[in-house]
Amino acid sequence: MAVDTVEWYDWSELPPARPLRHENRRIYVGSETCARFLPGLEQALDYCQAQIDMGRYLTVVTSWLSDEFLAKAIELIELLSERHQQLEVVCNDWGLLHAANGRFACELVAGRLLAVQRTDPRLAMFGRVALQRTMEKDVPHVEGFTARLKHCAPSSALLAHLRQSPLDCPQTLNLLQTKHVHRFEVSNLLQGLETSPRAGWRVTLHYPDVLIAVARDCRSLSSRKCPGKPDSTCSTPVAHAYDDFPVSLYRDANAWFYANPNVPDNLSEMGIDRLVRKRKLSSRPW
Amino acid sequence: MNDKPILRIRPKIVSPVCSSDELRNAVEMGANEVYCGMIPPLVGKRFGYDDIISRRQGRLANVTSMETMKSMLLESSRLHIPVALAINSHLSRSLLPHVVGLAETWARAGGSAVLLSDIALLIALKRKALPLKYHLSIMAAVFNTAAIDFYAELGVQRVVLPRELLFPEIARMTASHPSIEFEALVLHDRCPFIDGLCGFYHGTSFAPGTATSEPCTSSSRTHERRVYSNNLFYTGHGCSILLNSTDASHVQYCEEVEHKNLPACAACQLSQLAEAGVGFLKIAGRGLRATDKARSVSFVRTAVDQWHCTTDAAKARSTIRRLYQEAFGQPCDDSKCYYQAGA
Repeated sequence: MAVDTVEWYDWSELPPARPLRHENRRIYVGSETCARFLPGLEQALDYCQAQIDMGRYLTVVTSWLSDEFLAKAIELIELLSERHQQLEVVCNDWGLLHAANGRFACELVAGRLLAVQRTDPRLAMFGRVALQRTMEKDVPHVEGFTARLKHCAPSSALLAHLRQSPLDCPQTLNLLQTKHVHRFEVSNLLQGLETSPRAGWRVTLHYPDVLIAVARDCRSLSSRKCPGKPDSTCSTPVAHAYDDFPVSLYRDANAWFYANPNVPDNLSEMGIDRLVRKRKLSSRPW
Repeated sequence: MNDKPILRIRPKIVSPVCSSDELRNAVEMGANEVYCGMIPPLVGKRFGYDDIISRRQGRLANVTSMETMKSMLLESSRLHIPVALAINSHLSRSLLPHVVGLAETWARAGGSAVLLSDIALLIALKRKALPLKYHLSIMAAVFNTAAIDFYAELGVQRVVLPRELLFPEIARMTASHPSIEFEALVLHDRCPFIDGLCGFYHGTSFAPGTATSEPCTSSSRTHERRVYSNNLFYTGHGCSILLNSTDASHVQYCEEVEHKNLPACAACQLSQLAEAGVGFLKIAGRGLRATDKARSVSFVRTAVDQWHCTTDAAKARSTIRRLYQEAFGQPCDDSKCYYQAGA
């Protein structure tokens, strides 16, 4: 199976004009975590037209949505699907997927927020038995006693559970198919990834950035007030290192991420035919 | 002059419990419904006890034996109190069959509802036509009316709303779905992340001073006590770990908000919640001690009574703030209020 590599841009960021190669024909644009990044219709049309003129296909990424932003997203999809024959929309909200199903000439994709993977990088430490055993110690316990804290090696069932996406269950995939969805997206988990490819299904892998957690707005994660509309400081990633985590974390707008650049070597076996990476993070300083 | 009370209909209070004793206490303190978590021994042995069937970690926050479950359900039947079982983690194809089995056992034993967020589980249970109601957990992160349409079509009868919603958003959702019950968190849970959009692992920490350094995962009460964990480097939930941030604005936020060890609360907003169409008030904190759970129910019940007997909102809020200090030992703080305007 051929694997496309696709770059992901903000609405404020135009991709460079460059020679077309088959694998570069599609670009992603939008935010999966903050609806305030949804563009105005005029801006979106201009952006879309510029990409069509360069022979590119567009995938519009949307976030979780309140009713106010759901209406905006629907309006945007309606407009762009009329202009662009190859439009894809990544839905990160069941409400959008439900409302847009069958209404527009575009392909709907189940995004990473619907895949709800277990994305804490510390999960990768479960199986490091020798390292874990160095931490065994006495801890306070009931009735004034102490107890020996010991490592419990994870079962193969637990490890499989941690690598799978809840979306990747037959019941959910069948439901998605009734809504004409045939592609879902996952993150490149540090603890490893397991998907069970089925006929007719395609999987997109985001790398290296693994989305861990999302807040309603930046105010929930810092003292910074949300400007209402995105500004230049809105999406400037900030890196953090913690002793407890095997990798650095970073905050980008209202969400936390880590990076895992090691792409699995069994992409085809997992049904993965597309790799997506955020362009603005490709030159991260950490 | 309008002499009708601000809160004309009392919303029902939904309390966490882990045993029949806690259930009895919760009802005595004023709970109308209860919910619990459960990790069957076989699931615990295979998948561990942390962040598996629900997000609340360890044995402390969950029922871990069939005997306890049955005695709790007998008590709930005697008291005519509905009990929901929280199976609100997002599952996987490896775990799903075990959890379906648990829900079947729950229904056979007399449980009245399951609190869930996983779509595959909902579909699987609906197909089995179990005599259960399905409550959509806060973990489903339902932020718009179309999402409620989606879940209603799948058979959900109650929706627990995200803490991040604003009152007008809640009112729009409830008004457009008169056949759905709506529940909202009113005490304890206060993570900076949207509950359903957080992939941080909820393990058990044994760091001194943390809540779970107390009894929670004793594997033996005999000669040599041993406590097992999958990750001995684990020191806390992601949201608490992030308090050690090097991001100056985050540190400032933490100093202002998170380091105050107070329960988050919506007691001053109960009338607005009720007016927006919320009929059920959820108290979080399954892992709390029994006395803290009982105190929490008592506090929320008294707050409901305040709103129900007064025509003066300012007076109700002032009384509730005093009650909060009496219940939790410190004055409340605006930063701990639920349902704040986002920007």
